[in-house]
Amino acid sequence: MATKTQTQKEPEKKILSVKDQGFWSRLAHRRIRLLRLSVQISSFIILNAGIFGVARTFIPLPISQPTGAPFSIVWGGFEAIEYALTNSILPFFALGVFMISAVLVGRAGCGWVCPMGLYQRSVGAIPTKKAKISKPDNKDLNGIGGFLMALFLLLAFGIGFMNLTNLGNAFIRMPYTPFDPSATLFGSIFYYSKFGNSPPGVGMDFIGDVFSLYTFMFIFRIVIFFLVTLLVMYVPQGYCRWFCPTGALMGYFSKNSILGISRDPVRCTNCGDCETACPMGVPILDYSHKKVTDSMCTNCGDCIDACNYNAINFSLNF
Amino acid sequence: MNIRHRFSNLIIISIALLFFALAWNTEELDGLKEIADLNTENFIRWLEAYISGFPKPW
Ligand code: SF4
Ligand code: SF4
Ligand code: SF4
Repeated sequence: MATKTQTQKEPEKKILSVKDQGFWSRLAHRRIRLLRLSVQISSFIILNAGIFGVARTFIPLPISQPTGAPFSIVWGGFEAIEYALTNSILPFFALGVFMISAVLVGRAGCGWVCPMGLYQRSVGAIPTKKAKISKPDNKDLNGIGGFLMALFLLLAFGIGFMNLTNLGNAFIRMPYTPFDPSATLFGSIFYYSKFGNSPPGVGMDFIGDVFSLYTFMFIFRIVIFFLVTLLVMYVPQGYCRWFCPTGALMGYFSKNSILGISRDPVRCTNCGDCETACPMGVPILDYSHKKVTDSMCTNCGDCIDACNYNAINFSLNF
Repeated sequence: MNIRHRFSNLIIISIALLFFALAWNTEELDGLKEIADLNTENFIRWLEAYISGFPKPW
């Protein structure tokens, strides 16, 4: 009788299940989250190293870092593509950066480096009742980002074509930037608070001092930024999930990335904790255990922290 | 990771490398560098204006 009870105990599960087992176990369940937070904060400082006098570089990164941010030392990848297109140049270099990084590390830039990702993570930490989004809705809404990406690239191409054929000279070089909450947060708010509606060198205040076009654009940007902030308060990483064109572009190349997430089919109990923890709402269990091939997965690792059975981890897939 | 995935990754990487090679001969890099320099200059100008108070930026 006693032997039977012992065998029923399923020792492996007991040992591995570390829920409510004290400080160190709980820390172990946050190890990747903490590591990611420190990488995100360090990246934010490095990306804005202009504040320490570092000069800007021409390097485009596949993240939503606004090129025009006062201390930014890199190009936001999507802005670099738009900028080349509106200047009637094919954006080979920037696209190449997107493709190579997506194949090698997937959307890890989103999960670990992007400052807008960090902002959303911080806002998401505000304790609100998070909205429940069904898996199909999440996938459908994810299409908006792809649509925005195509729309703005087409627009940029059109502007470039107009410039090339002397049909007109549109002055806007990065058409998505006025809508980009990241550009508002890290650029516009700084400039507007420092220089008001007459920033030196911009020259857009031709309507008048009281309510210039610049002011109008600023209010427009703030409204979008406010709406996005509201969204991410209730839907974790809501902007990344559904709207960001940079993330959407990365998603096209990152599905079969070398760095990815895989499950151990022996240890996994299909409990679903990993799916619940995933900030992007990726339906992890719908994918083969070999790799989560979802265009939304940012390789953030939150699912690894959430698993009580050590059944899910980063993997290299060659 | 099956052979199809490996193959598609290989194609994406080859295209990206081809793109890098093509970028060498276009004005894209020059443009990106130019704006980077311009932004640095602009920022230094703004910073100086901000520090010296002329032209009055606030
Ligand atoms: S999807 Fe999110 S994390 Fe990725 S680039 Fe866009 S804002 Fe940044
Ligand atoms: S991988 Fe996910 S479903 Fe499987 S045991 Fe871990 S948390 Fe549960
Ligand atoms: S599947 Fe895991 S690594 Fe991918 S986004 Fe979700 S929590 Fe992050």
